[in-house]
Amino acid sequence: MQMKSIRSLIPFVAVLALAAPAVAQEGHPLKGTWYGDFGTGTDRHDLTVVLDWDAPRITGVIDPGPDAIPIKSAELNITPGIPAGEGQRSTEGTPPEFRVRIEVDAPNGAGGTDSFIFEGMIFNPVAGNRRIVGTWTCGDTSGNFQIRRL
Amino acid sequence: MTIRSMNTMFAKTAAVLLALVLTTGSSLAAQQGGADDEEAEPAAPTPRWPDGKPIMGSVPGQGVGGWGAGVTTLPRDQELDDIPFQPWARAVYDIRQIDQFEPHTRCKASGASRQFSTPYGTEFVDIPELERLYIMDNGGPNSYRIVFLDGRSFPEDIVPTNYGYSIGHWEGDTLVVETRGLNEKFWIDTRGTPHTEQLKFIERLTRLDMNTMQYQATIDDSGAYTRPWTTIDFNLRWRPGAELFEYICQQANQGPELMLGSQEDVDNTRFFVP
Repeated sequence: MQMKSIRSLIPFVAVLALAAPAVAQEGHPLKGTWYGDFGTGTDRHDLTVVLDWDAPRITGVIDPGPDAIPIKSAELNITPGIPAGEGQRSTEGTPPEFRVRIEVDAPNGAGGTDSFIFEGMIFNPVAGNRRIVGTWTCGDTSGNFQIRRL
Repeated sequence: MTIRSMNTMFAKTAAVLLALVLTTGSSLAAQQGGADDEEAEPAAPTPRWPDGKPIMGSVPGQGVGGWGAGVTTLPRDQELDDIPFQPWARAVYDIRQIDQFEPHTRCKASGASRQFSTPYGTEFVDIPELERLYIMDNGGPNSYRIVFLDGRSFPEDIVPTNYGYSIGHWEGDTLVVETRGLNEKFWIDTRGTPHTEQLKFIERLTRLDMNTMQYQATIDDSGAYTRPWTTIDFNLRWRPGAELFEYICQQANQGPELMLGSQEDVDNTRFFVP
């Protein structure tokens, strides 16, 4: 049942990925359209996530389009970095870490919903091609995911 | 080569350049109306139009000139902890001190105060008859911003752009310019002070005399800050004879990887390409 629910996250991804705004932006690190995959082992499924920063909330959908699934909640948790020491170049500092947690209630084949939790870290958070890599869980099922901002 | 090793090479290059600057600084200052020159000879008073308003650019009949770079990082001379960053914005600011992938180095037009931080400065084209002021980038992306001075209001729906929609009005001798509709495709200063599309960027420009334009900005952005905040006063310096010239940003750009590649590594020995 849960794999059916997983598949409900898949449809129309190729078309929707093209339709989604592929705009590099330098504002909030999560804002934008992200595309990648999730699954277990070699069983992979496309994943498109559109996120926006509507201060003070992060909003968005998974698989935008007619079957879009609204995100239930999204958090950006920051571990501050360590600035460069006296006499060092600023580039010698330790960068902050950006961790993400996204909760989604996805429709399942039985007329109900299954709750997914995606947790990951943003790599290259200020670069145009930043990506999020992490794990997901849905009940007893879990796996990994990676999405790259378009 | 990674961006960190690039930085090391940059430091060595900077040391050599610093030595050159120190040995030639006096003559450069004299040519460009620098501090030494200012001490030797007081600047002429603020030029004015017949209606008494300050002329922001070149004075008719006296040849063209431009304003040199004068605005650096917006939080300059302020404690970072006093800047009302939202947590994500502070983290972004911090990481940009380490990984400096500034869009301007990829020839992206950069509005707000970033327009006043390019090596070749800007030219102000002040046209009272049109009630407009054009601020032209000299170098960099070689583009321009329009400041409307005709009393108009902001449109309801502004499509966000790199330069936004600027409206100015006079408060005494100070031109107050508010810009809205800025997108998030650029940095508003050289060091990566973050902003969002909610930014209202308010600039106060006062031509103190012929050679000095005082510049102050207020950053009102509820997407990135918990309250509006204001910079110190910066000074732009007048550069007589500094005229617009053709500048092809992409030509000989040493950071093509940053424009088209992975944006993870860059084989380059300098930070600022344009």
